[in-house]
Amino acid sequence: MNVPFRFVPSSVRLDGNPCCSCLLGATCLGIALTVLVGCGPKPLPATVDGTVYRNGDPLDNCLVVFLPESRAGAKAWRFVGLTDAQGHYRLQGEDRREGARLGFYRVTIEDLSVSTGVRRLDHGTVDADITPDAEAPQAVRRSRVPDRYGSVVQTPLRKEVQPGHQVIDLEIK
Amino acid sequence: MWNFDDPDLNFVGDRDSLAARGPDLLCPSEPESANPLDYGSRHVQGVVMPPRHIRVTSYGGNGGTRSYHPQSGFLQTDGVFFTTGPDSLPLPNQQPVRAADITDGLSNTLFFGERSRTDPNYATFAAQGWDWEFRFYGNWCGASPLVLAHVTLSSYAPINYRMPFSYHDRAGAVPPAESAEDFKYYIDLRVCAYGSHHPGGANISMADGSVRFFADTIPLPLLRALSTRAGGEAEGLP
Repeated sequence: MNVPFRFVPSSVRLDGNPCCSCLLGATCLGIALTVLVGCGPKPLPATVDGTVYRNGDPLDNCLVVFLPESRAGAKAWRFVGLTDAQGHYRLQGEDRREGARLGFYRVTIEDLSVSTGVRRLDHGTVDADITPDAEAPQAVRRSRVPDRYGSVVQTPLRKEVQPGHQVIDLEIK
Repeated sequence: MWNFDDPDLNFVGDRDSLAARGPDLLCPSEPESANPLDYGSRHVQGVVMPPRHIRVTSYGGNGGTRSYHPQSGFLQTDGVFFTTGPDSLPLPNQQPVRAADITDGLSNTLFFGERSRTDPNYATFAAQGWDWEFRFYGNWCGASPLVLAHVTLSSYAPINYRMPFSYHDRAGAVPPAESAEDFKYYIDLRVCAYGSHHPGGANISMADGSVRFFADTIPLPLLRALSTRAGGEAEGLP
């Protein structure tokens, strides 16, 4: 028959008087627990960075998105990175934790420098006073990345994220 | 009867306008339940607009993999609903989808689904004037290409996506959310999203007329494949 174990803090004896050595022990345990548990969320199991290239040239200002393949255990995660002036990206999760989870991914790339040539207006007061007619026309900027790389269904980029640090360079053809 | 010749007139008359007297299609579990919604007398491009009330709805048509913003450079028309006619975007004279155009299969293609109009973190960006409050999205009708935000949903964002951070906590976001211009990426991400106040997912109907409850953990490649009408992928419902 199981007798439930009752935990009695050793720092307090039954007569109510704490003993010094037990208090010290309890304090050390408390500090250790705080360090282990209280210092922020658990790190992700992998870190991923790399460079996006097209015809050997690095591409800046491109959004790299790793989306997990539809397999057992995969969820609706997005791991994103934005390439800098050297075409270099580093993945982080939606919650801004650095890194990515393990598994197989489809990778999409969107060129954030695209422009349709028409100024985009939204509903907020920031755009409320802008009259597009009064402005000089904006340059049309086509995507430097072919459309298929922006589609998770058509992208040829399929990568695996393994434990620890890895460099995943992305070549656009 | 909808005025197609001058669509702005459908919004004239405040509570008596056609826009305010449209269908009442709000999900009973949506906390933002005012309907018709008061849009007030907004100041837009130097003009004070007349007061408007517009009916809002919890539902939007499948706009494919990315149905907003028409001037983002990323607008797609790979779903079932998008702008049509001579002024359609991104290309003129887009034609409406017929059942025969849904070559991925009617049971494998999303038709229309629900959205959630509450987003506490979004409100902190609206307070800066970077967009209006999220509850104002969801009109049942519109008179400009911006209607795409109200009547379509798309699979760009995961189901039940909401802004993961507030204005004050925006440091380190990728892509950055440092300016009103930056924030437009997040407008598109949030406006698109299917979602609800039902725990763990959202209801979306398929083009064959069935309705399924999708878990918000569904991986995005599958949701995107289901949202395209002719993607060519053999992804079916699990």
